[in-house]
Amino acid sequence: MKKKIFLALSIMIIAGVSYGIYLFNKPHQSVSKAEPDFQLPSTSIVSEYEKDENSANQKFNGKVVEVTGIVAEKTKDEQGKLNVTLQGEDIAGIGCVFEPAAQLKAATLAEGQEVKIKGICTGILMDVVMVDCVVVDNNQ
Amino acid sequence: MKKILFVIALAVTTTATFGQGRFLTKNGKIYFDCTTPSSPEKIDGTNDKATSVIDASTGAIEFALLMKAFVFEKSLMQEHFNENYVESDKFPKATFKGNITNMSSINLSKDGTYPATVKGQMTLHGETKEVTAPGTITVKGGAITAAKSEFKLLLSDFKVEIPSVVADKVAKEAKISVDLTFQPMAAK
Repeated sequence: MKKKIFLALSIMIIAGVSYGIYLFNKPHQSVSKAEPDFQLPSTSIVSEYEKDENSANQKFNGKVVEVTGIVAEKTKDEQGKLNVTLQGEDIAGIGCVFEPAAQLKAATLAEGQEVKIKGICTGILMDVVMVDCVVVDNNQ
Repeated sequence: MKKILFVIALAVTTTATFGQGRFLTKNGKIYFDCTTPSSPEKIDGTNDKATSVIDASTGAIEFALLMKAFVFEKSLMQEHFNENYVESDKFPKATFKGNITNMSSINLSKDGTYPATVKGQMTLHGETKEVTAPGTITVKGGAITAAKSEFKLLLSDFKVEIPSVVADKVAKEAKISVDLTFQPMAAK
């Protein structure tokens, strides 16, 4: 009987420790498989931020958001990382940073094209900023 | 009549030069490293979306970034950073407002990379502190095209607490690298 308890305890401890190690080493999650918390046009999310930054922060910050909009600008930095800005309201848009695996697909985007981008919303500076973005559908 | 035209022309050129004096980036890179020799892994994060404006006529520089836009290799580290250390939900932004103290020694009509010192108020985790940082300013074709800086921030200055269990595994001073590439700001 004691042996059985000991065995059960050991299994539990091993399971617990392995789960801990798994969590500790869990790589950065990709949003490509995540269900979006919000799906909306790029213009709407920007105008919600412009109207009331605090309530928009509470609603969207850290959430997986899927936005549809027109590519206003696409630039590449010195390391070849892409920056895509979607049109929003007036001069404010949505600046998107893509996850490494999504760079190739993002590179096919053209200015003026409509696109659906999913990423994690982080708030607004001059533009609303989304990180870890993936291209959902580039309408081609 | 000629005089009026001259005055108008002068006014136009002056405003034009003034309009050219501001430079902007929305894709500034900020990197931080809190690794210590006893850390079990690298503790670092990258933010590719800092916004910054330099006014070359006054040497004023401002920047802002979103804390949640820091990306980490490990998702648990990102979670801890946002929830336990910088409390991103309560304090979503970090900002800096200051001046290039040696703007007069930066010659905008001569291409080159100039040493610069920036001094100003940094707000992080809801705390504001004066920060002085060394760096460089790159001038090309009469425009400021880049700015770089490396400096250290004492976490306790900004009331960012390190739990005692990991006290020797997280650096008390964050090494910060700033790498900004500027575009002339479109005059409104």
